[in-house]
Amino acid sequence: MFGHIFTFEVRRWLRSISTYIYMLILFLITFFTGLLIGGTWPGVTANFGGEKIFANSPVIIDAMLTNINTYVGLIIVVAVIGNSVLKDFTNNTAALIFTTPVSKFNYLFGRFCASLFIVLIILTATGLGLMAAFSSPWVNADRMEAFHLSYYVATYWQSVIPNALLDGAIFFAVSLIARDIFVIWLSLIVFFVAIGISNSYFSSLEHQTLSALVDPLGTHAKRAISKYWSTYQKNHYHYTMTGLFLYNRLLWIGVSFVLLAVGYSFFSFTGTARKLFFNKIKLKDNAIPVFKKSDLNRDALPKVTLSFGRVTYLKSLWGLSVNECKTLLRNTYFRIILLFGMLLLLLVSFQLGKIYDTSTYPVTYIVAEFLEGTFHIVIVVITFMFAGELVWKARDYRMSNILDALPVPNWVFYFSKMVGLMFMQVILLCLVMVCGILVQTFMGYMHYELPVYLEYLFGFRLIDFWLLAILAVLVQTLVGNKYVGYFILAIFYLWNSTFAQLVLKHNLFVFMSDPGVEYSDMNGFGHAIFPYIVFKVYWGSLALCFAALSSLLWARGSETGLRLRWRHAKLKEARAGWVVILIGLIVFISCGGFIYYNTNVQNEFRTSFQQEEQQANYERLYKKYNNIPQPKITAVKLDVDIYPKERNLHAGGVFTLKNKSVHPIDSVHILIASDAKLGKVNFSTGARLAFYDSVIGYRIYKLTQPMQPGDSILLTFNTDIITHGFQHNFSGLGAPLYNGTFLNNTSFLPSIGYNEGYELADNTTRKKHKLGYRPTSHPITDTLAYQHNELSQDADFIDFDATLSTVPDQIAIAPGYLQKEWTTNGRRYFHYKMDSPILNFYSFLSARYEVKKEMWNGISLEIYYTKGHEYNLDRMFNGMKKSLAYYSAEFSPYQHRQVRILEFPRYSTFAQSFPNTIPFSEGIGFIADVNDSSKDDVDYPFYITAHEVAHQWFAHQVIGADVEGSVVLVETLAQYGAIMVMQNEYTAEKLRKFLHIEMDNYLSSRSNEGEKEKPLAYIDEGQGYIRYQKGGIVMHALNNYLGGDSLNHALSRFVHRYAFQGPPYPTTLDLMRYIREVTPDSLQYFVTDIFEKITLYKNKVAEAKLTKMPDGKYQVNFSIESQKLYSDSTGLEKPVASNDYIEVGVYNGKRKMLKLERYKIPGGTTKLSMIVDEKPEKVIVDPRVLLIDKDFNDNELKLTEGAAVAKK
Amino acid sequence: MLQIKNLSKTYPNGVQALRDVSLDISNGMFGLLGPNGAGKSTLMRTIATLQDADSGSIMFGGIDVMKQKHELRKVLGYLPQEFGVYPKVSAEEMLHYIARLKGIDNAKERKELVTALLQQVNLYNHKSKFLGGYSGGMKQRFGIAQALIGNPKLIIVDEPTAGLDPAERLRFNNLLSEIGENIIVILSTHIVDDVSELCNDMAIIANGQVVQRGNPESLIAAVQNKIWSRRIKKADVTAYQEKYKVILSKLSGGDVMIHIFSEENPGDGFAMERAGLEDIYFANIA
Repeated sequence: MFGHIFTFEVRRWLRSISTYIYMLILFLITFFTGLLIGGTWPGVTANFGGEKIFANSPVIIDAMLTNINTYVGLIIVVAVIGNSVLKDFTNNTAALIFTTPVSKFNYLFGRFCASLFIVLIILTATGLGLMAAFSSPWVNADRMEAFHLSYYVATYWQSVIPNALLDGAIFFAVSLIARDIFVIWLSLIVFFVAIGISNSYFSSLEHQTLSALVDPLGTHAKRAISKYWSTYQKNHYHYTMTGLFLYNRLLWIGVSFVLLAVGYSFFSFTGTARKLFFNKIKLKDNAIPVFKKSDLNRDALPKVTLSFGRVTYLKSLWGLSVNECKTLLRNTYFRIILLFGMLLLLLVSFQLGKIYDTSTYPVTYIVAEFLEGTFHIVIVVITFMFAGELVWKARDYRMSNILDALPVPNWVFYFSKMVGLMFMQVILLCLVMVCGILVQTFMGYMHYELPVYLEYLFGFRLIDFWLLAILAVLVQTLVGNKYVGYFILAIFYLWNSTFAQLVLKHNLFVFMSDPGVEYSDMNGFGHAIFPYIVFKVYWGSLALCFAALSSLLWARGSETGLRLRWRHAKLKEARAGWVVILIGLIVFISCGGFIYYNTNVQNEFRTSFQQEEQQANYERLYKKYNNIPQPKITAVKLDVDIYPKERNLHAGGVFTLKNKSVHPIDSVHILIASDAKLGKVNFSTGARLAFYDSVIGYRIYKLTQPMQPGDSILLTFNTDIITHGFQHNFSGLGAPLYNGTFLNNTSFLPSIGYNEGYELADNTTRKKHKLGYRPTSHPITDTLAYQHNELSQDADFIDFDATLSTVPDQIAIAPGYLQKEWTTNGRRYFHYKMDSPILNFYSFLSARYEVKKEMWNGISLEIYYTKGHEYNLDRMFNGMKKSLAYYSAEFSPYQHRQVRILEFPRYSTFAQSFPNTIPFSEGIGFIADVNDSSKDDVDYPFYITAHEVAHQWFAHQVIGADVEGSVVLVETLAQYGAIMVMQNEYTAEKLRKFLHIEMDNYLSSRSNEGEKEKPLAYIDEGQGYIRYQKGGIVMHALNNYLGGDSLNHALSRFVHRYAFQGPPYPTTLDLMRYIREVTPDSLQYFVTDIFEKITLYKNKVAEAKLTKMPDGKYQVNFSIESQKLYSDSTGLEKPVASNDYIEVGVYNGKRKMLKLERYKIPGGTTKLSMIVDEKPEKVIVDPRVLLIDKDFNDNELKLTEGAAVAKK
Repeated sequence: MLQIKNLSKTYPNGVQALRDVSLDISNGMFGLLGPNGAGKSTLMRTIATLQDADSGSIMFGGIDVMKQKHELRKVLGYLPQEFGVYPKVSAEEMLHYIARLKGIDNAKERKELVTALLQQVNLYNHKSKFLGGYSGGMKQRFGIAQALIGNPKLIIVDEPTAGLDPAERLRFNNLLSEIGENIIVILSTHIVDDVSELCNDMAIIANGQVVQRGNPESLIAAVQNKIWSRRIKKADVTAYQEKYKVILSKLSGGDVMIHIFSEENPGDGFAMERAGLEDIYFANIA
């Protein structure tokens, strides 16, 4: 019987055209995506997991197949399994089937197995699509390695099949319990959202193991396995079914069977579809079996006036719309969605804006963005779902027979549905707002900014949802089947939100797009508003056409073929609709023209490929001028006028240029950023423009008199940044802003000579543009490159003088000390002058600032911030004081009399150190909500301040040569300084937590390295994870290993030797020399390991036993497993023999360290013991996080009581 | 006056639902009698603007129905053969909703009308109950009430009694009979009694064609004295069918009662039968 049902069902599906359509669609999706990541279109870059990972590597194949099958495939699972199970109810065949003697088991599982089987067959299309794409001739052979069927097979049996089983089981059970397709869709949303919540909730480091287990799709488990995998491993190994991944799979297969059993037990052969929420009670009517004159009398009916015309229709529209809205509010499912949405929003709010696992204050824009961001996809899904329901409602309920024959024009029906749908979206956004306010209240934050909520949610987001609703109704109007409509919409949404931008490039072609909106407490919505409105008028007018078209083609009557409807749409009655379409098109096209004029005519529009191509051209044309003798800037004097409202800037300046070379110089090469316009240029000794490339902005001036070695001349120039219209993408800091301008010298001032910094650095990109291989940095042995520092090729240390002007309510700031402040002609002027030479690296800021100042040891500490952002000023002041104290005591005196922190808008989130000036993004630290009593919170406003202040030494005193490794002298040493300041300020526990986060960052980033990992001493500028994360950890370790002030002593000598020196600039070789001088022979290996090799450990406490001794003390016996590995640049790790110093600590129950010992531990297992006075609880190897450990989760072990008392 | 001229309709699946149908219908209750699948509903839906014919025309007064659907809808009352209801909507709300759509935009008038209609069709006591819970007869009465909204000049009632129990049917027909004289009411049905009880003009439609047309009484008069009946054994039915023009055979106490058409007395045990509309119907669709 089972077999019979199974084959019948399978045959039915194989006959059904939809099976093949599903397969075709899945095939096409994967095929297309496969080509995309296979590098078919050189202009489109879609890399997952690093450039060095092959497109057909096992990790990518797994990620692609798992994701496509999970998210797109899930719809198919629901469609097929839901259909199979509910079929007998929807087709009313239940009575026929259930009265046959088939057993419940055979009936249900015959159906289920057959539909699951069909689903699996359909899902093979994804694998085939990917294989076809990868073996097609169109992919880029560089992105491919040899074909391995096993990768595909592994993915299917590890992920695709178990996940399909789970999905199937869930929807099987739900179908059987609810017997209502709507509930099934609802559970689909619940399922997605649950995955989303668990993703965000368990993303932190601590929950890694738990999340790996509970993630139903196994993604977290896979991530946990492969997190620290090297490129080599990612390219050559598929996941193995061991450990967490195995347990996860077993757990969820088990859950699947439980769900199947639950569904099975709920089901009984009763005929009717069960409704979950209401029961029908049939009314009885006292029928009269004999003739009785009926009460009907048409003449006695009250006289009514009928009116037909616009006004009536509008009134009807109003009435119908109110009705739609009421119906919606009465809808039980909608109420459930609201309740459930609320739950979701409150749950996710725990993850609000965390940095270093530390929360921020729930300021309104963060709450609004975060909650809307989380809820966005739910609103989209519900919109699609209700659009289908609304359009098909009359037909589904067979009410259309009556309604369609009523004297109401199509557009009244259409717009009433639209209003209902749009009203629903408003309600959902209200929910977001209410939850936002609740969340703020729960967190004790009462500064609700209602206008921000209203503007963000109902000004910006709602419009997109409305456009989407109009599109959804159009699609549902055109298709002949609701589910086909859903499917089309799902595919479209996926395309539009992911690939459309990549493939079509310009926003003009990506439905609903806009240049982007970012709210900042400083700058509000700023200059994002106008282009946003223009774009929405553009898409809105298209939507108007859609609306008119939907209303023209509204399905009405009993025949709804599209051709027929088209015929009706051409009738005279429908003319108004075409007029609307015409108007819509006119607005659409003219708006599009206006946008094009702004983005492509007034501003330059370049795809990233074109941008890269221009850089390639720059290199091809002008590389020949690299290293020709050019003068260097020795002094700058500037007048910079900032016009925040117009978003313009006019600058005039005088550069003093000196020929520091040994050759005469007869021409000066000048480059300027593409956003700036260079006006008048004048050389004090006379010159003429000999060459000008207006595309790239390369100019060569031939000097009337060549500069002899040692000669100086003055270069006088004007330069402007003028904002015209708007650009294709929202640009944050590139130009002056209404409030919060932040520009540095490279953004509008000329530079001298060919600058290698503008070349394409990434070698994969270089290859795409047919440029040869180029080492990412100059080799450390390239002594020619010692002649300039890594910040600027055209200057060493300079004298600085700048006069800034801005509007009266703003303060303008540049490095240096304020000499004078005055107001003329309604402009506020500030004259700054630096009293000692600085690097050629300076900034200009202007904003409506509040100022707070403190004096500390003769140094003026100042914070310029936005009103309302007072939260962490004290932490920043504390950070400045503690770090100034530490660095000036340990390294060298502070060169300035002032430190200023200046807030700038969150369009970028970094802090950056200029001479006595530290611009600090509002997005990182100003609104941090650090809870000092929590063991988890990292005081990152303090930490970032300490890091940036350290740059006043490491960058602004000592700067490295323009060779590999030099960033270590800047970033690693600053990071080291910050960690040392933190170590003095915070508990060992917190530092340990911080270092663990850094270690995790280092290990997972190195696994995504695109080029090759280099040892610390030779790193490239782009390798942030090495210079900050690894650098900080190993320098902190070195300090501990060397003990005392040895390291600081070495650094101090290093600083004194190189501070404020011009060329030749130092390199990491010099740094290492100073360090090695203070390192005993026994630890020289460690310096080598951290600087010159990529060293990793696998340390583990294998065993730990506690024995109470007769004298009341405790003996701890434990064994340590240790392994040291050296990695090569591709990530291939090889164990090496070792006998290294490793610390072991014993802790009591309150996480207090009882004893710390440093042992010399060889590779392999070593048995050790320790005696402590107090009762210990656990043993931790390397508790101070000194070594890079590939798995620090096994570094601690709880002690178990020993069996017998040891006697000595 | 409703004039249907040369109406033909073939569905995409090849079923020819209407073949050159022409009918002139004037005020009063017009019965459209025919078996299932004869094309009645197609014709009704076409008149009710819900679908188009392939050829032919329908004129109602000055309205060309197929080209001026909206105009016709203004004067139309339509009770479809089959209609569903939204869940959780009461009869009163639904009538209000439809009244508004029919162009009654004065709320007070609407309310009075809805109340009066609910009373007239005896649903007033159940007005705030959800329609989903109504019995078949109640639902059809609701259907009539909604069709009467807005002084329709043309009412189309498509198979209203199908599926009603005898008492409900009786009650419903009582209701229909009051709809009045001054407008056109087209009642389609496959139940002969509905037509004989209610209509003074009728047509019989079979296989998409009009096969009889006229006043029920005169149609009956034309065959009066020509219908003969006899009770026979089941086994003999075939033999009689070969021998006579059998128009009707129905079970009767275990045997079969047959009616035949014959100008003269056929003898053979036949007795003259009083002709009824049933005989006309079966004679025409056989």
